[in-house]
Amino acid sequence: MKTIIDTIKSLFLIMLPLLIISCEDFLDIEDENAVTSEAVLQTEEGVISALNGVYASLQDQGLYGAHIEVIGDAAADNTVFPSDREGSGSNFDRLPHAYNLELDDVNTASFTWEDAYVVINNINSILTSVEGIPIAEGLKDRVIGECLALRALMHFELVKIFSQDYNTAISDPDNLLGVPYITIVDATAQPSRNTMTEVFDNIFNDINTAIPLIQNNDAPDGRSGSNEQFFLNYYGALGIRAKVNFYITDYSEAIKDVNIIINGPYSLSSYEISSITLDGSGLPELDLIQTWSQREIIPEESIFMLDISSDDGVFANRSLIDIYTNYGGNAAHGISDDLYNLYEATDIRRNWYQVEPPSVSGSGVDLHVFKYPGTFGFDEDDHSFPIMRLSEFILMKAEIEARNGNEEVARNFVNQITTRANASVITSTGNQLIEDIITERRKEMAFEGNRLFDLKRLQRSVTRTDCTLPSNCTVNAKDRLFAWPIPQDEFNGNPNMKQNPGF
Amino acid sequence: MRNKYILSLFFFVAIWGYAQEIQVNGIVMNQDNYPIPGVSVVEKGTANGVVTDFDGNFSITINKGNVLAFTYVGFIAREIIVNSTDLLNVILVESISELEQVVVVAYGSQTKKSITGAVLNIKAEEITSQPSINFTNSLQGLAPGLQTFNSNGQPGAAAEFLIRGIGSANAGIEPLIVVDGAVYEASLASINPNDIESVSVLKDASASSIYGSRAGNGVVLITTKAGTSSKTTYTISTSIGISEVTNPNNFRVANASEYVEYYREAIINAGGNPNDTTSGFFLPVTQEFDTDWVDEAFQSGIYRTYDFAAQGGNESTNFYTSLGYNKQTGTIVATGFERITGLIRINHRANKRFNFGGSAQVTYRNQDNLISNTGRSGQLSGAFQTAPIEPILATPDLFGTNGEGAGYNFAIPSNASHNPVATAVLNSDNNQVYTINTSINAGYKFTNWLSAEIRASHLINSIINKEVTSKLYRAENQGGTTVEERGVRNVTNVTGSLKFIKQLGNDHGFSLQLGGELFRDRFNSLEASANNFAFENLNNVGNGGVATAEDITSDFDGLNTVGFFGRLKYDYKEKLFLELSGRRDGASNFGPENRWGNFGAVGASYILTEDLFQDSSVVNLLKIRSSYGTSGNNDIGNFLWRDLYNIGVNSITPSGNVFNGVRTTRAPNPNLKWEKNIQLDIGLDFGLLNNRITGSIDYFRRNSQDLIFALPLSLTTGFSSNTINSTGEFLNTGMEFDMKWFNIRSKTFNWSTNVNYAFYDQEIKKLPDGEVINPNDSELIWREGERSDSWYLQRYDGVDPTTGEALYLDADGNQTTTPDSDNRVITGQTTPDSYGSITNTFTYKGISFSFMFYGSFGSEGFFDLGLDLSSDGLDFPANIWVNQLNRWQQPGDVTNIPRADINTGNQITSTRFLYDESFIRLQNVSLTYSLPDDIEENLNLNDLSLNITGQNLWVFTDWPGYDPTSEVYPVPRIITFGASVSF
Repeated sequence: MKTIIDTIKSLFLIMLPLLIISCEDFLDIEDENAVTSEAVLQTEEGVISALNGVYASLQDQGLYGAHIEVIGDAAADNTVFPSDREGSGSNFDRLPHAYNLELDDVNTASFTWEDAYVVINNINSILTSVEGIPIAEGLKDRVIGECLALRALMHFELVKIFSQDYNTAISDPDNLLGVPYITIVDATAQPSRNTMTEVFDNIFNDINTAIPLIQNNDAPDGRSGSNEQFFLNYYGALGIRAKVNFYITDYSEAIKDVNIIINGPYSLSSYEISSITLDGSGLPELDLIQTWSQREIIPEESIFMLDISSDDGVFANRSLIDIYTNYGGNAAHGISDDLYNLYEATDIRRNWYQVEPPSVSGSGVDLHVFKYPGTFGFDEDDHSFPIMRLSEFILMKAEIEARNGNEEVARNFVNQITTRANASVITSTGNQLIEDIITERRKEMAFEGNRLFDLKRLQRSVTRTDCTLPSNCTVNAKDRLFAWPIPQDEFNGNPNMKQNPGF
Repeated sequence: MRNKYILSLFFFVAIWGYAQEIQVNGIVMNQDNYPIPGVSVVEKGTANGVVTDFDGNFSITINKGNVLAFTYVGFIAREIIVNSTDLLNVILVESISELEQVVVVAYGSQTKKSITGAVLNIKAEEITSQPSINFTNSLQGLAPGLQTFNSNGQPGAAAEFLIRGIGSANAGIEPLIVVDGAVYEASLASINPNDIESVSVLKDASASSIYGSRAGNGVVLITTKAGTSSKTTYTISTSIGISEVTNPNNFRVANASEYVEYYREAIINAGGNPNDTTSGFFLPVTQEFDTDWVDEAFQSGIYRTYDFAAQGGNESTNFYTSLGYNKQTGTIVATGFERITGLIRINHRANKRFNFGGSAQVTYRNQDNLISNTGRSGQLSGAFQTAPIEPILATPDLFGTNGEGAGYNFAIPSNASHNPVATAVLNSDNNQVYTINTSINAGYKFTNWLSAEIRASHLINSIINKEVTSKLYRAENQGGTTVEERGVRNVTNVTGSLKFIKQLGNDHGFSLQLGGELFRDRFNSLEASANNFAFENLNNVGNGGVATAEDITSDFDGLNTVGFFGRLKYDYKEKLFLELSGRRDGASNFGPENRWGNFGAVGASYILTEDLFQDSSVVNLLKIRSSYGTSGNNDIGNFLWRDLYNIGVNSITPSGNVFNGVRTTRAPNPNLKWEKNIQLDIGLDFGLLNNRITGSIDYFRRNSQDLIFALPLSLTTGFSSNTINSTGEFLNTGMEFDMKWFNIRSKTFNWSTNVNYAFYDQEIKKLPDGEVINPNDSELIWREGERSDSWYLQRYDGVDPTTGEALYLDADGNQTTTPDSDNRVITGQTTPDSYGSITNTFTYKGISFSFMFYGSFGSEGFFDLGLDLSSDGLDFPANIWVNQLNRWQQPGDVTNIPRADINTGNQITSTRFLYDESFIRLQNVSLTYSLPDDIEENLNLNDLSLNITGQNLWVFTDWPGYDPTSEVYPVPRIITFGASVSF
């Protein structure tokens, strides 16, 4: 009897691990430092987190953290190489090739390509799952609306950099392609490029669906007050459509959205000078424009902006202020006299550019951009970046009205900008008025990533008079250098990808 | 179908049994009629067995007419047919052949005779006769097939292992480490070498496939000591020694006059004037200081061990317990190691059927590491860089108001304001490790032919790493910095198995083992850092300024596996052996579709000498073995298969509102599975001339398939790459050779020689995506038809005698002065393709003397230190390798070192710094004197011995640096004196 009991006991002992083993669940373990897609995309909380992640990702180095705005200015006529390192020396990820235009499949906007599609994939992951998730109907529509609008925005940024200007591209649809417009989640996809027409059809499809969804539904909790500008609202969505129409020179469509925006709740911020010492810069007190001097200040005219910060889990840049100065020897781009000399001596906006005091650099001749005073050095900046602000739409309004022959209206709008800056009032007419408005746009929007795309829109050449590199002082209109090469890494994983002509 | 098998199994089982049982009593003695305690007495073909007591007595009930087998380590096994209950007097003869020795194998032990696979066994004495705190450093040269790399001279640092080549590109390549039956997930530095009973190395499929998805790189089984059923013996041993850095080719940096001579020339060559005090390149001939920074970095290390052990027991209960203390100061200032180990193990036989036991191993380690391995802030790397003309101490006025600087000179432009002597004194990098490994085991014998075993263990390994930059250290003066990381690993392992044993007639022996294994591994860590400390000595993280969120990070890792294994052994007349083993494994690091996999092996061996050469005195043993089988490698990261979102991708507004966000980090990868190894082994064991010569030869062919590679995706998917099991395939082939012979064998004097040697060849058979630069090391390339550890470098072609410029070869072999990474070619390999050792052992009465030479051949090493210190002037004012003094100076000079110039000098990674790493080392010498037995007996002692040992005493190599195998911290020479007494 005792033996039998012993036997049963021992059998139990032996069977114990086998009993545990029989549970297949034993092999399902969760990473405690990350979360699976199933866990994210099944609750309201998870979806909102995923959407917040999309907004945070807009700060990526390849996007508004640095490269989109650097390309928009450095590849045009607003910058030079800093005088102490002409032609060489700066780090690859500060895009020295945006200025020297020695572009190839490595020296291109590879970060932008990758980061934009990461955002698009995160958006698509939300969109493909959101229908099945228990979440308040209005909130669900709002999330869908913001996702669609941001998907349109990301593809718009891609097509601005990697394709020829719209009108040139649609005239040669076989050779001048758009970018793949991605609306599905498939890690194994190897898409080919859509035509320019297809890309913009998709952009309009997305943004047109998005606008009423955003307009008619409340934003997720917590975005009110000083947080509102950091997320896309109705005016932001309209702004995207206005910018897209403006870029493709469909001015009659653009003006509709512009009119709503300038009649919206925003007003121009005032530009006032104050003396400010920038923490950690080692610089003496500088006279800066108050509105642009500190991250904490949220301008009244801001429609959609980002707070680029180092504590949000996204690597944004290696200090935008370092990209635009040579402080500490890291600069890639200084400002061009072509731009600087456009500002009159009385123009308050000259205070965006400061001569580095001789006590710091030992040279005292370089101009540097203080539009985004952030942290100096290798680390990331803490600064705000305006994706859309009222001034841009006022300048759009002025240009379109001037083109439509409403010169009085046009002058009134553009002079809101000149007056604020303490610059001379524009009084010209006809084509000169249009030119003056375009110049004013260049002055006001400098270093916000617009100039190159204005030149593309207008099918103009890049002409650098203050030119530190003889080889690329002029880039003719519609040159291959206006459509940046698709990065090599894309070809490694996608045999269906096609390179731009000339690369 | 399955039921049928079970039924037939029962039927099979049922026909056994039913015979007359008799009680047999006896005594087991050696040739000199001394009783032998602890002899295993087993009814052959069954699990029925006992062990002899302290007086050699045993008592066992067996079936009449069955065979009793007597086995004891070091003695020839005997088998006796028992037909009566008469008292049995059994004499065991000490074995010269090792065939009958019992060797630990996967989930059990076997006699060497019956093994069909390639298994190496290393005994305790071979390990403890060497002075190593971490016993892995003693294994070099002891086992052909266990390639051991002692790459770090930090006291306590572990050696790295390779078994039969490199079998993976992106997954782990090191073998599975199993301690006392459980996969060991802590550093082997936690194990006291004196507690080790044996180390088995499972090299081929037959031996290792039973470990399934984790056996792909081979298995190392470590067995710690257990008690014996004998009178309690106590052993006290101690040793003390010194260690020092070795420098076979006298590597050194320039002294002050050499430094000044070189750089004055480099300044003049660049058009500067070293006598001009205003130029920024002022370097007068006469210097006040000549500091030997490197000499300041090194010291003589002290080595101490104190060990106590007691073991003993009776027929029913035995125990082993030990306490050890080790302390070693490193050969680099401020490095060291301290360890306390304790082990207790008890086994108890409750009755004839049931036995159980348990053990607890507890270790505390305290280790002071080299402060920062590389760069100018590095304690050692900075010492090489710092110019000899800089003083160590500052003039008093450089003392900061709050004591910053502590009197050290930090005005050191040659080393970016870092003072390596101050680094060693003021800063620290310390590890404290607590390892607790507990286990419990039980065995139950149902019948003579069926028994069961279960074993459960739990390991806790807790590491506290604290790196401190003192607030007094000036170069990074943020009021001091402390980074502290605390990590805890919890590993549970449960193994249970059933064993069937049956002898059919006298000719056919069967045994079958079926079992299951459960493994759970979790790791959690927390890291925090802080600056701005109020007091220099109060540098715990909490005493610093307020930490921000980004200064606190946590980490996690986890793996669960489940395995079912089985092994069927058959022997025909104990001369033909057949073994089938298999395992079904499930692991949490693969998707649900690919979670389970089957592995298996077949092995066979035949002892030819049982049929041929019978009674020949020339050929005593010829045994051929062969095996073929599969195993897996799941060492690929634990969550690679999942599509994960990163947490903490937050939107934070300037007003401080946090919008918690997540974003995708990895594409889903449900098809991921383990890499597969398919291995063939053919071996021969031999004994010749009355076993005067014994040895074995093995050939293997190891094919590694389904190798994981991160293959690029279209970036438009939102992901850049996905790690998949590709068509990639590596092939390792090789021969391993082990031979021992007695030059002189007599009653009082023996001289034996042991030679082992291994030749390896490796080839990349297939790559998934053309050739690629190794993503982990840009100086290595993977190319089909080449080895996976191929150097890929520009070829240096000396110096143009007319201009002094460095010359390189382009890809076509034409000379060029322009370095270009497109000119890289394959120029060697990082891993030796042959290695081996020769050990000579002399014993004369109580004196034993042995020495081992170890050699390693065929690999090249890149001399990073040489590159760092050879900028040909560019790195002014950093110090230089004296080799730079052989520079080109004027047209006509024929030299290998380019002209010195602080503007045009260059630091190009090329074959200029690639050196043959081959070496021959006097690895180990040991001299032991043991008091004669009669004196010991008079003193009531079992043993009293004295020893002198040395490790790494001499090395012959072309390698220009300190030690050919060491990466940063040179492996030192150690000489110890020890004494051991047991009673």
